[in-house]
Amino acid sequence: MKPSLQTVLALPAGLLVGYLGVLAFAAVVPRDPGGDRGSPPLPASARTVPTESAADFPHDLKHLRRVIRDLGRDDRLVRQLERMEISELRELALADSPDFGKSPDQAKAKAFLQGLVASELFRREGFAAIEWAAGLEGWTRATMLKKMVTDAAASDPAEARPWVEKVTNEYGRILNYAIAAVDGAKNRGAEDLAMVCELYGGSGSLDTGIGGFAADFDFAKFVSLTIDGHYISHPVSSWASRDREAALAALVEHSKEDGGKSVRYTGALFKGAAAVMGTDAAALWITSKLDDFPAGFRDQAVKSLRGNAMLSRREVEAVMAALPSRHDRLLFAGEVISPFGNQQGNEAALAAFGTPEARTEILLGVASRWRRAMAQGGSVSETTLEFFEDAMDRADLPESSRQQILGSLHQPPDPP
Amino acid sequence: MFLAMLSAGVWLGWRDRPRAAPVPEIPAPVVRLPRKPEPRWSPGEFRSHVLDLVVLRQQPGYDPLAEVLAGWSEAEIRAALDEGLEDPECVLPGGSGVAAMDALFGEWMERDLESAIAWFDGIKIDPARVRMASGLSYRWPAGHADRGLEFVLTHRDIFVDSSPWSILAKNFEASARSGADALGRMLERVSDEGLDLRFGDTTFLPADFDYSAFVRTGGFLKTRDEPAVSALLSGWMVQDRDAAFDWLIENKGPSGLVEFLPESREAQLENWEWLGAKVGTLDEENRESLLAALEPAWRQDSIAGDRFAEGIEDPELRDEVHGIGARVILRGAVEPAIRSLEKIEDPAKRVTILLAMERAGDPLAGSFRQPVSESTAALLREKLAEWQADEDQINAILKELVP
Repeated sequence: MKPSLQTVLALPAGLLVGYLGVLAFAAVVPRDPGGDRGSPPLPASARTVPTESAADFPHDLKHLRRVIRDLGRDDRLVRQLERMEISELRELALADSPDFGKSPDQAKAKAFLQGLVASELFRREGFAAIEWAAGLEGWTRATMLKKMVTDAAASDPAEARPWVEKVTNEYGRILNYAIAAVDGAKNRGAEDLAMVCELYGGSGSLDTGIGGFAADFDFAKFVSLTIDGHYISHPVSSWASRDREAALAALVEHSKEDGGKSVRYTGALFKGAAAVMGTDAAALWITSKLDDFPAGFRDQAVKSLRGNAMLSRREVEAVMAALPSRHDRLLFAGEVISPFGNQQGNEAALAAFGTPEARTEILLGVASRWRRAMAQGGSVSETTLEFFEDAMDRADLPESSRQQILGSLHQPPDPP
Repeated sequence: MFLAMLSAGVWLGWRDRPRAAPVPEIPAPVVRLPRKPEPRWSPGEFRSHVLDLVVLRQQPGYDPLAEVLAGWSEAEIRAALDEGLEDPECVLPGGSGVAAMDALFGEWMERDLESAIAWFDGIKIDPARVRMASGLSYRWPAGHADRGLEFVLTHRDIFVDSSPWSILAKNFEASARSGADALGRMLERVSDEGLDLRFGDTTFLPADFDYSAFVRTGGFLKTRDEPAVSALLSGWMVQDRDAAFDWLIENKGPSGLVEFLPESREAQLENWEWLGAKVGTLDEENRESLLAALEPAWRQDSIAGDRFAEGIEDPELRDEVHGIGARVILRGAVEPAIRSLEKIEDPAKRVTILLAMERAGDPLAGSFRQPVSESTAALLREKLAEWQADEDQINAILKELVP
């Protein structure tokens, strides 16, 4: 039978329709999510920009902390900025728009917008963006320079430093640049944080902070690299909260070579340990380790238990109870009791000495250190005298003891 | 036959369908890609979004975490808090996890205050309790202010100094809604309990609160020097700044008034202008005292000083203030000093002001002084010449001010 023309045409048509239909279908259906993994890298911000509501994150502490960390930024605004050309960004920051008039809200919005643009420009152009901003005028110049310099301090503190000085010189203190520098360095490691302390430490506004250290932060290296002890105390507390024995061992080792410098952080060790084991247990732990320090430095280790911050009544009571000897208790209480200290701590330290004789002894010791303040006159000496009068009243000291203490207080100060 | 060929075509097409090229084994991005790209905004739309956001963030009670935590069950909140107690970053003051702990506990307090308190009382590590106390105070539900005061009085051991300030502020706000006398009585009670009033954060009193009556109550008079009580008057500056100005000048003097001034930010510059206009209403002693009290703020921000000067009507006084602003030159800030001086009309006066400045003994010329570059010194020389200073005057100024 001879095939009909229809049949002859139907054979290739069917084949063609089937073949092309499948190809077309394959082109429109989405591939599996993993199919995009070979795409070029996304911009840094896109990698962290969730488009789902923050409420969609898993309900656990880890994810909540991440959400809180990113709360300050508004992702929709950032995404829009990322799509703009540099010329558009500059125009947006500089335009004198009626949208931003003189109302406080509008002025804040303008400054906020300029800060956002400054960050985006610095992210793309680095220090060239700062050079550009330095050529601007007025408040726009100040706002953008301050934000760019803060971002620069976070990412490249060494190169940022001359700019920090210049902008501070022109506009006064820049808020948060030191915090930004510290936070940026903490993520990069111990060497960078030590460098930031050296670069920016002189400003007096640098706090290395107690939290936010990377999980693998090398505290031992930081302590060995950092010359100024002012910056070590908080990191030591953080270290002790993670691994108190390691922190202690490192400081003990350092103290053998650094002339006792590392002994000064027993208070920081105590604070850090207390955060995870409780005040009483931490007091027992640290006081049991005092003999680990080189013999000549043990007394300094006891005195340093006071730390840099004022101690609460609870902390003073715990340490006083844990110290093994009367000699130690006298040393520690002598550091705690101060006319300018925490009243609760003062009371707890004094109350640990049960007899008038013992209280007289401790107050005599403290008085000898406040002669210089008394000699200054003015409000300092008034406060000092009031403190001792009040302390002697509370301690219910006999008149003879009072005269002894006041006599010591009024003696000429020892030469410096 | 057609169907047979169609089937064959389908098979061949499926065999030859396009496949993704093999991709290297790299980690998946940590992100969710945008579900739907948002259209690009015009500059006007962008500004509008920014303004909306700024206004939103300033709303009292604005809490961006409310949406985040709304879907959490109490069991999830409790589990996360228990987990946090084991993590030093969530326990140490200043740790990176403390904000999460405070947010979780705040949410729980909003939902079931007594259950949250019971959990808190069960924390065994005492520094963790102390650390959480300040966050607890801040997030204490305002609708339960009285329960908060009771909590503070029964948990004195965990509160250090003024750390329960927010609970006290909420009690002040609740009392103020009943009027000036009620707030006065609340201050009296807090004072009698010996609670620490050394905090100065803004308390929001009702817009129509009667400040004039309040400053005559016994509670106010008993505690008026405490920072927290002074801070209660900051709303007066917003409600009726002229009345507040008069009372503050009379009762606290110019230096006391300074506590109530806004910080020198762009948004508050209008207040500087207003204050500049008020200077003319003061007698000479108060005027000099106010200028002296404000000078430190202008050292930080010479533009604020210039705005203050703009509000002054008396040209002599205005020039005097610009001259004070120009003292930033002593800490090496040459360009801002020039900007302030150029607001003085008479160039000779600019030169006279600079000639009168001495570095010796001025704190500005101390440890915070910044070095002046050669180009900046040259700029100053150029300006001085432009202002008709003679060579001797120029040299004297440069030697003294930018050595």
